[in-house]
Amino acid sequence: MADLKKVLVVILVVTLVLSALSVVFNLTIYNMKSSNNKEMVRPSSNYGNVGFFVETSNKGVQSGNGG
Amino acid sequence: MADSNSKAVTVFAVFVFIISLFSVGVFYLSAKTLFSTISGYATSVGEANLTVESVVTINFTTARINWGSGRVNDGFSSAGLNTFATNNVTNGNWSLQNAGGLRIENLGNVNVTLNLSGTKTAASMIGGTSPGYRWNVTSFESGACRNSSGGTGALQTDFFYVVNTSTTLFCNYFQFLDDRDVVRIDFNLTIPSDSFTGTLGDTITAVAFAA
Repeated sequence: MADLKKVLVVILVVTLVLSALSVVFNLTIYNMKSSNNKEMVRPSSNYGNVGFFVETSNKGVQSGNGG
Repeated sequence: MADSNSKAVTVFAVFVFIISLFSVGVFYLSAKTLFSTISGYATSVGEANLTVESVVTINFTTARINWGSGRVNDGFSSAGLNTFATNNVTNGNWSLQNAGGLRIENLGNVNVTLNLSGTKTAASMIGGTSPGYRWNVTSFESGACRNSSGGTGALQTDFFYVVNTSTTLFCNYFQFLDDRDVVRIDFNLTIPSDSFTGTLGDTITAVAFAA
């Protein structure tokens, strides 16, 4: 009877380990499938400009003294 | 003693049974996913399938701002240029040719992040004594620019910040809906009387990623 219990326990332990491995394996596969479904969307970029022209006569104007 | 051993084995057996059931459930999910993608899997169920692609596209609908040619008025240490509709030049004789700032529209079908950068600082673009080069991002259409929680707080908007040459995030959610998909960038420049001369300017780069 004691031997029978030992065999039963061994079978249960093996079943437990295999079930746990199965869960981990299948969840990994499922997550890989889910992550593959994520859409890769390309970023977009665009340009704008600000500009002006400073006349040469700007040079040398003294500040705040009326020139 | 034997009785307690039997109880322990029974409890263990029940635990293993539960784990096994969970394993079967996970296997079912995994197998269902697999069978739906394997060719040769026959089914009598009809299916109409379409995929709507996500597209990220932003565009400067106003891409150029130009104040033309001018200089600091005699007797003033600097002139101020901005992109507002009125009073956009002070102490100078420039003339703004297109008021209203740069405008960016989200033309895609997803909300995006809006990131901006310039290529120059005030010193490298304008030169002279105490030049200024600042920008101000606002939602041209109400609600266009949103933060990470969908609100408008803690955004670098509605205030003139020094233009940054490194990419700066302005909108966590730049929306795509037609009535709220335009953002405006205004500029405020200070041109000292001893600034560089000739053609001066900068290029503003906007980059958007799916939010």
